[in-house]
Amino acid sequence: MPAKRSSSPERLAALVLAALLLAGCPDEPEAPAPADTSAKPVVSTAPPEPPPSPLVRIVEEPARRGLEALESLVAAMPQGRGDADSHYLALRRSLAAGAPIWRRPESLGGEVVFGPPRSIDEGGGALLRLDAALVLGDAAAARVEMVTLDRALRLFQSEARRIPTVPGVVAHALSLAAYDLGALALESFQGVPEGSAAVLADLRGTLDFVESASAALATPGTAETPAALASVKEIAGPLRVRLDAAKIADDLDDRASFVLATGRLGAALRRLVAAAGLPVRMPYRARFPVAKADADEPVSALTLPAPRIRPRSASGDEATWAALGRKLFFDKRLSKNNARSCATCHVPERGFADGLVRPPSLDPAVTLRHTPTLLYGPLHAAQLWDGRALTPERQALGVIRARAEMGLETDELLHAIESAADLRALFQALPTPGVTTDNVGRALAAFESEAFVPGDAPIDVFARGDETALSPLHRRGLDVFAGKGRCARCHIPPFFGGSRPLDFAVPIFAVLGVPDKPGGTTLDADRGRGALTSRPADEGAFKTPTTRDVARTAPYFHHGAFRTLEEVVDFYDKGGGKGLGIPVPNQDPDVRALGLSADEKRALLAFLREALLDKTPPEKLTGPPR
Amino acid sequence: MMEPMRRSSSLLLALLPTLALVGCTPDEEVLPPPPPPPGPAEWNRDVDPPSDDEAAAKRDACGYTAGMLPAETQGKSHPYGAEIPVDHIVVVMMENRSFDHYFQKLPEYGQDDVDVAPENFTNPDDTDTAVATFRDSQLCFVDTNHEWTGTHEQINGGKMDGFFKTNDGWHELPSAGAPEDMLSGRRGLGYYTQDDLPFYYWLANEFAIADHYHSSVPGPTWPNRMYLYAASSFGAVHNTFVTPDKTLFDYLELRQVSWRVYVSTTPGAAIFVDKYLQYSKDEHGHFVPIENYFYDLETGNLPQVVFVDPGIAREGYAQNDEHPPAVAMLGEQFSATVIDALAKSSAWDRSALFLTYDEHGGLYDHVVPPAACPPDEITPKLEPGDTDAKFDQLGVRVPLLVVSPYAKKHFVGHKTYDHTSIVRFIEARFQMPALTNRDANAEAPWEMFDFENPPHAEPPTFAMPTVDQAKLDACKALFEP
Repeated sequence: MPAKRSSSPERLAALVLAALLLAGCPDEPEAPAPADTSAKPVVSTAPPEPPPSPLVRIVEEPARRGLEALESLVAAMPQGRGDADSHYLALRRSLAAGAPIWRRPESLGGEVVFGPPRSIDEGGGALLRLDAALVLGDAAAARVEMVTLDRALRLFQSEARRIPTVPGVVAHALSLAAYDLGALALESFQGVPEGSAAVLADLRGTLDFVESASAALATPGTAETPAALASVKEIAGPLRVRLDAAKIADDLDDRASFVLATGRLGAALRRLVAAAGLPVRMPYRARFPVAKADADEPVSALTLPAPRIRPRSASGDEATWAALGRKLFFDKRLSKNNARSCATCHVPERGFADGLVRPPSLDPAVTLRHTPTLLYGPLHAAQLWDGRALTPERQALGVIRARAEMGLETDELLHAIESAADLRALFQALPTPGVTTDNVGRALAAFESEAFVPGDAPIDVFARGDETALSPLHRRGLDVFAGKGRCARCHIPPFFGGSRPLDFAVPIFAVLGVPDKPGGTTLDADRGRGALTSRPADEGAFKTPTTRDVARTAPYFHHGAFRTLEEVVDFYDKGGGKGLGIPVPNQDPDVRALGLSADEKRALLAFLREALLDKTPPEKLTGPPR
Repeated sequence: MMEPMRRSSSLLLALLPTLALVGCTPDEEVLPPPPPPPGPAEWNRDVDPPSDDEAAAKRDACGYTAGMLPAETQGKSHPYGAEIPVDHIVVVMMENRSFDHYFQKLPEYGQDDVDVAPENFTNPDDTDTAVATFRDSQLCFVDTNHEWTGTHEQINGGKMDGFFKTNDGWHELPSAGAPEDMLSGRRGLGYYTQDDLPFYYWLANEFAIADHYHSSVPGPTWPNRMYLYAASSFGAVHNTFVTPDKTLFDYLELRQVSWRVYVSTTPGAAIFVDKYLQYSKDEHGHFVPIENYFYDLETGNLPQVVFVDPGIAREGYAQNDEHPPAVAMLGEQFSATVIDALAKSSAWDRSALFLTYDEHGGLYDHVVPPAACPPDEITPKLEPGDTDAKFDQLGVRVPLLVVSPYAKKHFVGHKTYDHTSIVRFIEARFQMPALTNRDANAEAPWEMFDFENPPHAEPPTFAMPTVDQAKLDACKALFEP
């Protein structure tokens, strides 16, 4: 943008004059410049506004439409529950169409509307609060948020021309927008609204952005852009037809195929971005790629990511670490009196859990929580039920040290390894030789990354493009999981646990109000994360575990008191602890009575048991040698 | 210093030295009394200034209130209005760096009269193991926690020991493949040295730096910038819109003082959306692109009050506002360009530039934020889970550098300041009353100036800092693999 030059305000010249009159002296200090304004460019009449470029329009239009919708909403505030009001839905659609640009971290106004950038304390912005107020029919609370949205939209509109969005920013947003479309269809996107009509409005708005931004990026474009744009339209068209045919998001049957198409749409958009000569950005790298080139990879909200990279100097020797980790995992010498190994509680045949309500404790004073599975553990943003360790390394070392679990102090652990010739030799042969706790943690984590992310469940085969992998029943089950069952709001695909794409680095904790036993009316006494942070919001909160391989890891919840998945589904269907009549003031608002039919429960259970079950039996994952 | 005087006719007296300099008549008797400056009549009221001690004691007790003129609160030894030989006040507010994070090593690089963290300063990690501060070689470390609650937990009732814990696992990775230890809380304990920030270390040695200048609120950007523009956040403790009743800009308008904001992206002042939309209409020329700053300096058109904004409100390693993960050296280069242009312009002789930071960003500092005067009756607008606290404590310490012909040479100001100290300086120069109780009780950083014998009448020259392209490329690889 060329510099817009303007002279000093006319007022300044007036001041100069006044100052001269006042002091009668040519060098009066009030005057920063002599009054020879004739020599300088003077802004008189503003030049005619040039028509906005397509890149300006994709930001300005949603702001303008949003302001119109807001005005209509103010003029006719809905009575009672209002989150399906047509003006509100138009407002949401506009905000969704601008969101890929406005939602960027630190953007002025974006945070106010959509909430702060992700953090452990996920908080909502004005849009989420407006949604909540409209659901409650609280017009006063809604108006407060509408004032904020009005300000934000006017700011967005004004800045659209003042600071036009550059192609690189649009390309970046476009590279990722299709992924968001899929996450929205699964209702796992951060800030997803309460009602099914509002979810559909967000879907439509996101597709609006995809369509308008891809067209803008192809204008004037290069020799390659027309073909790339045509293939975007070819995939976006049928998605648009499906969204147009629906009245609410729950009308979208077979969301699985919708999400699969968003993966292909993402690849097409990245090809368009590349054709326009701009850098592409992948949502993340797939654990099992199907395309030759990164940019072509159809990464959707169901695509399993590669486990995160630990701080490692060289990545080529993972196998060395993992081999040592495998040995350590089964080695009882890593515990007090050689009593247990990691595998004592994380039993391969039991899905790397133990099938027990609670594992036996080596310290009579301590009652342990139910053993969670280690499957997909490397994708957890935090480890353990209360999330007190962030990484598998910390988790492993913490368990080895805990008196109730394996019970070796750091010096005892190092001594145990030093005095075992076979282990000592393996540690010395590491790329960073030596018997250190760092090496112990790193070896176990490398093993977990290698062995515990199998990714060959039907959902994964489907996500890689084999549409036969999910049966109609499974697909109905996923529709319940994403829609009416509200499961995906915390058990976020593709991990189906509490860590959010794109980087899976921020853990999700939730307060469910789990009773001491199925159907019970007494809240379990475990304070969960609250004991760690002492924050009222964390009282009784636990990390959201993965539901992958859930059929193998009964019993359930942090206290292992629920024996079957039927009991678990029933607990959620009734509305969590509150639904059972237990007072849980800080219960997660997403946990409420669902009203699932028997048929829906059947489909959901089939999805959980079968579609998320890895084909490879867990005991085969660890491989030789034992 | 000047004799105590009644302020009503001080403008005339203040002009005398200048008039004498330029050869106008030195005889005050023959001059007619000047008309009062424009604005509300009560802004020109007669004042009987208190003694310095009296004023300091009353400020410490939060005894002054909104509406009080600087002449009524600063102490009679300090200049007022046109006695302050500065016609251009330039404020450059960068983003998110604490004092210790930047100037921990200043004693080893030429200035030992400065309060930095002791060598053995540590913060506990989640296993209560002490983690030491360290020279950070990572130039684009992941953003650190500077929310209201996070900052209070960092201060931790004065222990200043929460900089590891509140940052551990906080925020997200730059990209899916980035090393996970980039989220370690240790990044909150890093510092840079003169080798990293040569220009800032040079500034700190050449001009005046304050080592007890604090952000105004233990919280994020917006509340703190609101204090810079309005001496209150009107209840905001998060980045949220508020409805200010008045701002510094309104007072400057009333006083008919020229002002302009030079913006690189969205201006910081846009957080007051309604005011911003009102004042940003093209015909006002109040909000103009950054290029105009250099043009206005070249053409001798710099307004009286100036805010120069780097590219704020855009997150990324390649931004020039110094907000992590932005590479600090890009912001240093921006500041150097802004200062260089001022030093080479005709405005230099009568200018004062304040370079500071909105808040500490979540980066460590060892000085316990002192008590502060609540600006108004508005209580913090807290959300569930927020630390229950009031606007009665300053935020974490940030750097303040004063660059001016009148800035003392190689000087460290040790008095306690916050953003409203800059507001108070502007108010003092243009004889405007306090916006709120906060600036009413703020002291302008007088100690950092020598108005009688300008130490930098001839601006010093300096080498423009450079940014290592290899390091930028390394950051690009992390953020845009």
